[in-house]
Amino acid sequence: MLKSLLLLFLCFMNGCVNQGAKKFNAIQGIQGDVDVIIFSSTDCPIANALAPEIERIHKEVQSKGGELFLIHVLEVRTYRDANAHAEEFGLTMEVLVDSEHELVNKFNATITPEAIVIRYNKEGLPIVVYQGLINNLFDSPGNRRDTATQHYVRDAIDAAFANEQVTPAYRIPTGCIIEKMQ
Amino acid sequence: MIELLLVALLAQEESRVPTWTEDIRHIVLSNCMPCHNSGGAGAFHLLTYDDVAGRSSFIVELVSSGAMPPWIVDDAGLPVEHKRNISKEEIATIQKWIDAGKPKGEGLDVAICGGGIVVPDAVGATNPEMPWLIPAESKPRWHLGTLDKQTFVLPINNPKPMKVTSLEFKTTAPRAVQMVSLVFDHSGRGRMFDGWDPDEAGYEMMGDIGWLPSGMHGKIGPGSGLIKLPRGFHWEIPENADLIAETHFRPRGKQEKLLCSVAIQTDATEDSRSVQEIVSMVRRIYIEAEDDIYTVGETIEVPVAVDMIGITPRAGAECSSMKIERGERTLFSISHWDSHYGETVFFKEPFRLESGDKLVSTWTYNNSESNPRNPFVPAKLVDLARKTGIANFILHVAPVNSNDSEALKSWNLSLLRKRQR
Repeated sequence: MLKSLLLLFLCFMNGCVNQGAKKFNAIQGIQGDVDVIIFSSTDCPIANALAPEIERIHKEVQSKGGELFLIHVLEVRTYRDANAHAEEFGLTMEVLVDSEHELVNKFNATITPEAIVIRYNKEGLPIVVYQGLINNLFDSPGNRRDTATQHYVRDAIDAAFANEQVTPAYRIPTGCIIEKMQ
Repeated sequence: MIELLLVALLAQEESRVPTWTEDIRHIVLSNCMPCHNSGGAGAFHLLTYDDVAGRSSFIVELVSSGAMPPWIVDDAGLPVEHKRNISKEEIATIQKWIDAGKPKGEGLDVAICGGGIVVPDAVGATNPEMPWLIPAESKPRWHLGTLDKQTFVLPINNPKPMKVTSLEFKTTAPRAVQMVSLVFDHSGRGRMFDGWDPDEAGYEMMGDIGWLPSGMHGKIGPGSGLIKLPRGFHWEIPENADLIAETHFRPRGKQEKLLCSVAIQTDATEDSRSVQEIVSMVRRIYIEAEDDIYTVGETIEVPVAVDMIGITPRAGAECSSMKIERGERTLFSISHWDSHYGETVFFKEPFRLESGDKLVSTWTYNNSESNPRNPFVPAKLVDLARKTGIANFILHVAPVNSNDSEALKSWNLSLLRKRQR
């Protein structure tokens, strides 16, 4: 459900054929469903370094019945760039472009990569249960571990599917700043 | 009247809105472009107005925090050449430009920079038919930690001994390869290691050659593939040498082919002095988990008068800081060590060490979770040793009296052997 609505919405934003699509805030899901959104950009080295982990998270979420959407946010990037990037980095999830920053603003995303984990309530409305850091591979843009040892989004996804509270619900993301639209 | 005019001009300058063409382009050109160009080590281009305007807030954050341009050597030591630094005034100008809506101005959109290419007298390269594949992500190393190094042999095939003054090292993956430690080998030992697995390019072991530590002939850091000895100094390299290159890479989320090449310049002056290396080091570290201040060190007494022209630091990821002192004087220090940025530095002027001078080296380790570079969370016991030093300062020196050359070599070798006991 979310997938199709997102696609329609984003195609609308990017001049695809599905003109007049529904807005993102009209999304509804089945209670207990979990989806993940990751804000990214094609040439953010921190987002790119995490690409294999993002793909693994995608497979894991998919195996549990959810979806993961990779959303490119830089205004200068095109849908074609995003697809080429996905092929280069072996990303198989839906890759979308938020060129007008409507989703960025909706979720107050500030960084790429930044993850949003959504669970649907009994009314079928999306509730953000976790936002922020994917894992601890990067402590800051200049400080990188050899490998990640803490997996915040994976933990949040597990908790969300188990209908448990994610604590903390927000971890300050580290990566490339999303420039405000002028 | 003149004072008033000057004040008015200054006020006008202060209130002037910076533009890309007049101001920002030049700041980017001198501070960022050496890496952030096509084929450079920088993760993305900063070539055009759009490249910079599209990342301006990120740029300000990185330069304000000191993460960019990458430079870890403290100012407390001897003045060094080629320091990468962006001034507070330049950062303020970029911020002012952002606040003003990033005006473009009139003129060139693209920043263009020249390069410092060596005209080669000798060259070497890895086999182009057999590239090494940098993995998409760090993989476990055979003994400990992660695989982020691969060593390659670059045959130089120099028919005669050569006086090396410059090396320009290039790779096909400059964004992934963050540092390269170099040592010339004329013993064939590097080739022997490389031959153990003929189906793999290079070998997984460290790039030391016997008692010669990797980095003896310099370490290249991000932003510079060039090692240039100060004028009047050279490395004496025997005939038929190989360059052994220990590459340290950072996987970038996708597989990348890695090939290496080197261009060597041998334009030594007639009175050029031969550079040798003395090694200050500790061989082993044993650090309990969560020990956040573990200090090791060594004092060496220089046997003959030498002029020190540069230093190459070496230490692992758990190291947090290091320094080397002579008496009260700090010669070189790094307060925030990063093992991926420990390049060779050369001093603005050679520094004279007299016979009998004591050099005190100190390395401090933080093996706790508070060290953001600690590979292990939670922290683990660190018990590591390396024949040529698990933590080093490789001092690049030239004896004041050339007759002392052999004595210096034999003292350094005996010291290296003694540390193994």
